[in-house]
Amino acid sequence: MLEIRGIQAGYAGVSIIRDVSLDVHERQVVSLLGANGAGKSTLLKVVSGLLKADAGVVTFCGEDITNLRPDLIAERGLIQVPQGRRLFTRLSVIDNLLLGNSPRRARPQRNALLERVLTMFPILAERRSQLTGTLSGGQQQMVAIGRALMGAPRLLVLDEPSIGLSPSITQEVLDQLTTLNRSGLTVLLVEQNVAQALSVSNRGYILENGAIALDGEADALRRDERIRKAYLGV
Amino acid sequence: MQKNVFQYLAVLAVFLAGLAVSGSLSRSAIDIAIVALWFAYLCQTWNIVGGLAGQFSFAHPVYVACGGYTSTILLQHLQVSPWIGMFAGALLAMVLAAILCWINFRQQLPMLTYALITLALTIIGVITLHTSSFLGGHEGLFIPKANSPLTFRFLDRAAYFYIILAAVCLMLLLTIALRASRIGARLVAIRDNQDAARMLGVDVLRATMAGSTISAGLGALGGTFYAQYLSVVDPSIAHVELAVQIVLMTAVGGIGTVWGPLFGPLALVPMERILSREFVQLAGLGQLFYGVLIIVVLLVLRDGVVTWAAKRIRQRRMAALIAESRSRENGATG
Repeated sequence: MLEIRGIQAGYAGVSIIRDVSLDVHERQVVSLLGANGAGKSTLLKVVSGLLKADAGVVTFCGEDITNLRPDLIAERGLIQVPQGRRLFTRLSVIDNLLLGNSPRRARPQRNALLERVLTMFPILAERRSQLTGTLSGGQQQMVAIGRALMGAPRLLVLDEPSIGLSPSITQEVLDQLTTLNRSGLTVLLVEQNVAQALSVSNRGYILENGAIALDGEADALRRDERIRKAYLGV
Repeated sequence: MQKNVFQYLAVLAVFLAGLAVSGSLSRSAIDIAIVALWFAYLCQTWNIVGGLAGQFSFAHPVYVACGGYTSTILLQHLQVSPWIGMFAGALLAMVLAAILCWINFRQQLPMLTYALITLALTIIGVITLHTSSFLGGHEGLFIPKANSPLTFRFLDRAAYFYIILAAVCLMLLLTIALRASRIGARLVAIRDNQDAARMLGVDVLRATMAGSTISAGLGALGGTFYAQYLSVVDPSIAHVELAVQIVLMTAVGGIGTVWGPLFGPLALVPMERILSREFVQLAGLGQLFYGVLIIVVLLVLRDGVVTWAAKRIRQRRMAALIAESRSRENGATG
């Protein structure tokens, strides 16, 4: 579904990521793992069109989307839950959710999508007219995910959803992802939290210093000696 | 939605209050009121993009000049009534705004560029007006006074007062409706976080294009009004200072709010007039005092008077709710 081939990108001529390739197949949960500064967010910016790639190709559902405008990438069904949630804090919960319904492709399904999101996160129905700036961290993450779901994603990309959340709330969020995946949604999960991310993934990629250091089935990665030492602290 | 009903009633109250005081205003007071309301109208139109979307435009003087000059030229050369000519001016302003918007938002340029590009247009506009003999150069164009409602001319100043009062009230209604609409939510989203909006599929160019052309067109209508009211349109209408005043007055009232663009000019325009009259012996002292006052207001209240007041009301309500639930708890336990 998503194929990333040989991507090189960076800022002001300095390459942050080099020759990164990655595949997400339909109905999978794939995690992209790595420490702070490994280049995860840079790669996601290229995928979502916010940053131009210096080399390489991003293909989504058979179509070349490299360096396409961000709103047009969202229009094709590749939708991101950005790092730090990036909610519209001056708008209410419901307005945030409805803004997620911007892609033309998703607009006809607006009411059905909204009902699904509010069933999934009942607390959001309760707080629908509250400004999102006044919600708790976990609730804000729900709005961010719900907002992305309102765009009827074919591939949902989450950039470090665990930031600022307690481990138990992180687990709740990841459980929701598993449920969504079972109902057919493909997920690319970007995380520093290697153990929790691998526990819900089919495959994983480890990004180190801007290049893929290791990739494989999630179970195999969890047993890998190097990963156990470097990331899992075992 | 209940909140909106309340807001619509408040607009009606403003309109009725305006009508009620109009009879008792002296000649000089009605002139100050007209200018204050005219500034409020311009601030309201600026607020659509400057306030909701947070994209500061300094091109409003050019849009105002588009309105004033176009309707006057059409009146002088083709005997077209300004009531019709003002829409031609609005169209011209909308085209200019669309071009600026396209230049700025086609690329993902940083926020400040929009302010700079629009400022450049205003500077070019002023020079053009001063040097073009077709547009009357420094002198501008004159509109003979007459009592001719069909050509937007009245000898009774009260007529201008009613027109601008109605326009301001219509802008209040438009702002309330816009804030509740899909396009309004998009503009606010662009102000809060442009990248996040893009990633969700919001077409930033389209949204800002819609917002800024509406804003420019409505601003141009204000230009025609002012030309008719003064019976003259000259390059001073497009001065850079006007762009700064619009931003400043809106900031004092509350940028992005419904009531801020009305409150700022209604407080500041009369104050400026009174101060410069009181300190007529010491030229500039009034201006100085006015400037210091604005700085103090913005330092203390930051987001403007209306935003500050709304926050206080919300805090009070919250405190009342907490006190109420506490006393209920105490009642239950005690």
